[in-house]
Amino acid sequence: MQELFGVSLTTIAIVMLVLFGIVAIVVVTLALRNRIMFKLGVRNIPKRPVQTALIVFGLMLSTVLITAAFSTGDTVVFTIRSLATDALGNTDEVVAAPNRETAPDSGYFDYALFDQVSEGLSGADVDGILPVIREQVPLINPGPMLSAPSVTLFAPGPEYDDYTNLTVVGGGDASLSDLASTEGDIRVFIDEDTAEDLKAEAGDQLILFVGSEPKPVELAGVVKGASSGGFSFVLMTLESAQAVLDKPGRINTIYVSNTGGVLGGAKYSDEVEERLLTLLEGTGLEVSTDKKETLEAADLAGSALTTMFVGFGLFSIAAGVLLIFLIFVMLAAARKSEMGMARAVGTRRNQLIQMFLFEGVVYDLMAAIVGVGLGILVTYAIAGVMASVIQGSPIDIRVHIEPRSLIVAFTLGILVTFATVAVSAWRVSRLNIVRAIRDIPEPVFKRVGRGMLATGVAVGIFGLLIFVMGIGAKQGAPLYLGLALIIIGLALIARWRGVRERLVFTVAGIALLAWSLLPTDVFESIFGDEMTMGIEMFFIAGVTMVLGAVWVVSYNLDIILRILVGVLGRLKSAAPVLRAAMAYPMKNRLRTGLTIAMFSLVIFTIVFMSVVIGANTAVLSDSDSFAGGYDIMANVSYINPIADIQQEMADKGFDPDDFEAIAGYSTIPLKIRQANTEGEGEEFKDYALNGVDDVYLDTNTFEFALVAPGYDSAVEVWQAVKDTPGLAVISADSVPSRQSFSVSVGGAQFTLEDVYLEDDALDSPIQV
Amino acid sequence: MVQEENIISATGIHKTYRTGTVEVQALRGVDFMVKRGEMVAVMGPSGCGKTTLLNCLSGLDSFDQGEVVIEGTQLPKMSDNERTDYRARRMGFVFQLYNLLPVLSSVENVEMPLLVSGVPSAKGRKMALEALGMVGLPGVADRIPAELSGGQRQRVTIARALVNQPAIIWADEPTGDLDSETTGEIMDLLCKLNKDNQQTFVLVTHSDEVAKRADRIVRMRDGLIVDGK
Repeated sequence: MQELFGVSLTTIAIVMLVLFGIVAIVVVTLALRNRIMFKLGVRNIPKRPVQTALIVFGLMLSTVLITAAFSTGDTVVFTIRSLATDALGNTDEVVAAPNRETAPDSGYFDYALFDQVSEGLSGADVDGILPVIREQVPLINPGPMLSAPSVTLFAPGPEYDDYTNLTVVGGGDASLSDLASTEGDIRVFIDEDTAEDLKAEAGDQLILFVGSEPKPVELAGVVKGASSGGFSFVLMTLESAQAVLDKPGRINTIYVSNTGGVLGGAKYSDEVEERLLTLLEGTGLEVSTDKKETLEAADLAGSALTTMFVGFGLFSIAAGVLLIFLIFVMLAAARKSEMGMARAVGTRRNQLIQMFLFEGVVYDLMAAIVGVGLGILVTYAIAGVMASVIQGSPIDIRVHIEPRSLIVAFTLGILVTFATVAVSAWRVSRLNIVRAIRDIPEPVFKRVGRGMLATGVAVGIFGLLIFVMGIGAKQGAPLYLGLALIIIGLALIARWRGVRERLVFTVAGIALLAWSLLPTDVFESIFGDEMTMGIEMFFIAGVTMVLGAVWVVSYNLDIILRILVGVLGRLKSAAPVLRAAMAYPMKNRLRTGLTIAMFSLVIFTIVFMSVVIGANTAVLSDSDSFAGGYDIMANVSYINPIADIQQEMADKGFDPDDFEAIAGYSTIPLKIRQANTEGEGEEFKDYALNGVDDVYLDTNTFEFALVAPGYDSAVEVWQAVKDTPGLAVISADSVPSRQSFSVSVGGAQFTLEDVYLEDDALDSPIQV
Repeated sequence: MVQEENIISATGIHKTYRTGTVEVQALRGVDFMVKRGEMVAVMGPSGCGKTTLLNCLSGLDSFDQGEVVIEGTQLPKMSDNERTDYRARRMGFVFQLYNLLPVLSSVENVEMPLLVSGVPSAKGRKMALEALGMVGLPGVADRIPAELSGGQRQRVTIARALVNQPAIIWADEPTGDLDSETTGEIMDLLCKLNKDNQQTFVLVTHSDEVAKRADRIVRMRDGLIVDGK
């Protein structure tokens, strides 16, 4: 289930639809009851097509962003899910020996166990069970002398035909029974990619290797739809595989398919896994629920991406909201005289609000429709960029957009705009009839009423509450927002007390700026270093910073003008132009403030994103820290390991002197847990152990996030690992962070306890 | 025939405009009575408080001190909505700059006060067409203001002011933007309506030609009525 800021997207969609329904019913009812106001509102739209186009363009920005964010999240979820569903098809659980990949001769078990498991699962939510042999083997086409170094030998039992619809590339159905051996020869199918790599066609004789022993096989056809569990495969009958591998009556894997189809079966995985574990007790076999985990990882990745996009998009949405407000304030200014007259002849304030709402809703609908359409196009563009970035990998980016996402984007765009239009219409309706009819400006100095005191007290108290809550819960967002609201509340109270506007908002603006720019170490020295902060902090801090800066600038425009005139006034022609240019912004502080805030948010977003992209580029291009100083990495299959890389390279004609360092490592999957921990920490978790050679320890340039006492440099640590058996280093992925700015998907499951990336150092070496 | 009861009764009206540190006393204790069916012209130099008086009396603007009673009702004591409804039902307005809504046709402009006060649309349309006929513009119902001359626009404005058969019509410089020939036509129309319908007219004007068509002329200076009470 995808989430946005921790809330299910389905829940958001339902709430949005209900709210949209309420708004639609209210607007339609009002329009039917008050047709003259409806006419007044909507007739402005076709009369000014250029203005309408500009307004729709401005309003649609937030919908485009929301649509693109959700649709990209859907695309990522679908792409990752496809990895699981393409590879595993209907298979939900896989029974096999642990670490079978690194120990090819072990892991086989008697076929009778399959019968026992099959019987034991009767009554469970299972609709299929399949005995299989899987191995990674090299495959050669001796004709053109082409090889595929690591292909999945996939040999299922005859039940396979009941679950799978194989089709021959080029047309026609195929089945496993087509591969039945007639005269002791071995017939196989291969997939399209492998066929292309080997330039193999039906009828070719291929050779697969079991260890170093060649085994001739006949290619019966090139097929698709095999769900082999790998990206490239050679498919044969179970009997053939048992003969080729010399494992008569034995298998090494059992595939289990749950009821509920390709995606729906995952929800039974926990229950089926439990039954399987009971059945397999004492066999040394384990159950993997890769599909369920991949589907969950897909949802997590989609949620993370959507949250990140929406998080960054919030700045643009905030700028869009200001733009909408500004548009309607300016529309109102342009029609001030007409509105004053409408009020004079008997139009109530709420009718004036309705008039603007009707107009706004039509813009809103047009903007939402165009915005969703453009958002979909943007999604395709992002998918294209993502596809080009991961070009060459087996991942195929597939654009997929859930109707739910479009519903949320459409309704959210409508509701955000509707709310903004409603607020601006309410503000506009509070016009003075006489001043409006005569089209004279509002007085510069307005009396400060009790409303400002009430607002100030309410904002201040609310800010204090969430500030205290933030400290108590060690949550950065409420703490941060709380203090900002306290500052705003105090400013409003000071205004009510009669303190001059410029002084109040300049001081408050500087305070907000200081708060939002407070260095992390100062923040931590005051509030401790255990505050949890998420991506929402960017938005809160950004908006606080912009608000503070806008207050300081807009309440001191005259001083800025004086400075500008002082500097530029020496150019005699510039002085009058400058004065005239500054006079209009100074005359209408609200519009000026809104405009500055809007542009500030846009510039802030651009600068922020540029810095993030620049920092990422710098990190990725820094091979010393990102790749340990190495330039080329190559992998080999366990079936054909390299005992001495230096020798192997020399044998292949490479001159070792051409390389500064040739280092190697091997990976072994194992279980790990932290010593002396309790609760969840006591549980062993999967981990990949990298055993590195001496060259690696001597030459890599990786630095460390945290180091135990007694080491002054990374080099010292690597040397200590080399010299001290039992001493190891661990990936920073396995160390939790107090900040949740990033979400790691598919990373290490194992995490250390009582240590954080934000700590200065390890208190002592940790035992695992 | 002019009846003897006061339809408008204002006593001790004070109004001060404040702009920053600057205060302007627009009305300094004005007493003003108008009888039902009377046509009164308010004259005086620019800035003497004529328009301010009209706005305060008609409930378009507030005042600082004093009492205004219209048809026996104290307007300032009404809520904003009540005052707005009262204006829609019992008052009509004609201003110098027409102030018609440019996106509505003539007939739609005229029927607006009726529709916002809840008159059914069919009835409102019928009354609006009758009002346009009354001001001599039966053929411009579907035209928008931009397609009308200045005189025609002001007639549409008058039709809008009359359509709800108001007790009082407030006119602020109703001929200020018109040539002398059209001014004469408009004043003929207003005087005819005043006589035919027994409606009360309060006109603010600079023009002696306009003022002398009224039953009574009130002269203002420096926020006070100096003649014609």
